[in-house]
Amino acid sequence: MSMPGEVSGVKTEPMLSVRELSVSFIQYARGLKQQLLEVINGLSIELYPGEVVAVVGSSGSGKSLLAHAVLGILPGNAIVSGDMQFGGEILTSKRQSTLRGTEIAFVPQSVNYLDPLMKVGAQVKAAVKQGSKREVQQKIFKRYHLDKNVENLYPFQLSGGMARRILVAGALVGNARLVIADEPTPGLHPAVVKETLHHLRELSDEGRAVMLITHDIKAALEYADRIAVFYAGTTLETANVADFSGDGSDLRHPYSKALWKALPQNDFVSLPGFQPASGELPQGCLFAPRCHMFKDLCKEKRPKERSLRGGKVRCHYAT
Amino acid sequence: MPLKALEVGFHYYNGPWVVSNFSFMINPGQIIGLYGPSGSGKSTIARLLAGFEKPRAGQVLLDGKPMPVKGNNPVQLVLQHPEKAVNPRWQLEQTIYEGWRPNAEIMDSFGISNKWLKRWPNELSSGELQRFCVIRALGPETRYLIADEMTTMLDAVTQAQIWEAVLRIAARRNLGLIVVSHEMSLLNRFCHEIVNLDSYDRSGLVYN
Repeated sequence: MSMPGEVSGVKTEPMLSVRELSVSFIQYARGLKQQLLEVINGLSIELYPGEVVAVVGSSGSGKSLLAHAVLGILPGNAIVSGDMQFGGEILTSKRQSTLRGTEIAFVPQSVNYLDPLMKVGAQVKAAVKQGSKREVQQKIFKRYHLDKNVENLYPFQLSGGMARRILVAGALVGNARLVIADEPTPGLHPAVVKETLHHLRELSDEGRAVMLITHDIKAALEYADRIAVFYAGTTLETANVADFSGDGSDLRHPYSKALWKALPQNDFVSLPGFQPASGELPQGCLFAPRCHMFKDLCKEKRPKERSLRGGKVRCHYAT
Repeated sequence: MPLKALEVGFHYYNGPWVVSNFSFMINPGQIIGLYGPSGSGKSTIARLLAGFEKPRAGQVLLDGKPMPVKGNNPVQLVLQHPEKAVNPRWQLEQTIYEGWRPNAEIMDSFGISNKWLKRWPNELSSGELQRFCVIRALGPETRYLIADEMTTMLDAVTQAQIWEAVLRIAARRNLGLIVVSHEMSLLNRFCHEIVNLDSYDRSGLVYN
């Protein structure tokens, strides 16, 4: 198996590289007293041209916030630190605003992102950058099984599944080099789910990079090249798709193993306890309170990300 | 006391029939899965069985009688999006105690931290909120629990944790469970019987 970023032996540069990203929100505690709530800490991820990286992990672990941080659409009370690069250059907020919608496409998680006062056909046409807007829009509507008359409807007239297909269509008609899809498929008919994921795979095969945020591990395994496992605002492991198989012993981090074993088609066993809340993060390893490999060092020192068996892991004792 | 749907049909005002001629029965202690793609009427059936909608044809009977109109509903429904099912201006303590007062053992089995009781809904993740919604539905009057895509939005570890607790409580109290899901592997895991709405005879679905 070739390493990520290695296209026929030549090491290419990552399209997107995020290093030690932290995101905090300023909140008012009581009266005028402010407090900082750290929701993402020390997160690192890289995407190479031609690959689909799936981001899976605990609900509320900051998967969507990563997408919003890359696009520069976090709310105003967010403080971002760390290093983000797109195409080898630092992502400044000015660059983010010119890149999003052109070089970086986004499929948002909520259908509330559609403009409620604009017909959906026009919303998709606005995203077309090359060729006849009308033709491109009609072609993609056909691809996503949307009837011709749908283009004249407003978002409130659509079912949840149709609205989601419009979001996907709008994001994928452009000519973006990086596509970030945040839970693009829940509530869709299986055939449309397949079509959507297949389309994302097709785009990456054309040399783009795709970040697929999902909690559907099965889908991730089918369409992604690598999988990043999130927990409590950081990446605990980056694994190759093949590592998610059998009893999960090829996985590196105990949380990834637990996630794999918890699937209903595997052992369906859970872990006691819960993910630590932002603001109450343990000083040491974020997973320590639920870990069966827990030792004293885990309580004292938060592990740094290290390379292990062709992947990356954030654990003192993973082998 | 079985929960029965007898040739139930439903359509929204002036709309087409979304459910028609649907019959179903569940006994205490039974776990029945309801499977089907989106738009097959799963959620509508769940709402009909829980008394959230009145059938336009046929009837829903609990123990041979229509649903009670007063007191806590013995048929409880848990929905997919917990953040839409709790009052955003109530602390979670208030949300739970509106229904009943669960003991510490139940709270522990769902992995609920005591500190969460004083939190507002926007301060918890959906996985954490959903645990509250499930506990709220498991009050002493509850005989049947309908889980409508209850863990669809959650990660696998949280999903397994919630189901472990629900199955244990359901077995102990002899509750009937109706599990609505589009994920066959989940239903196969613990359902005694699975009703597939995809293969269900929908020939009766006509535009009115």
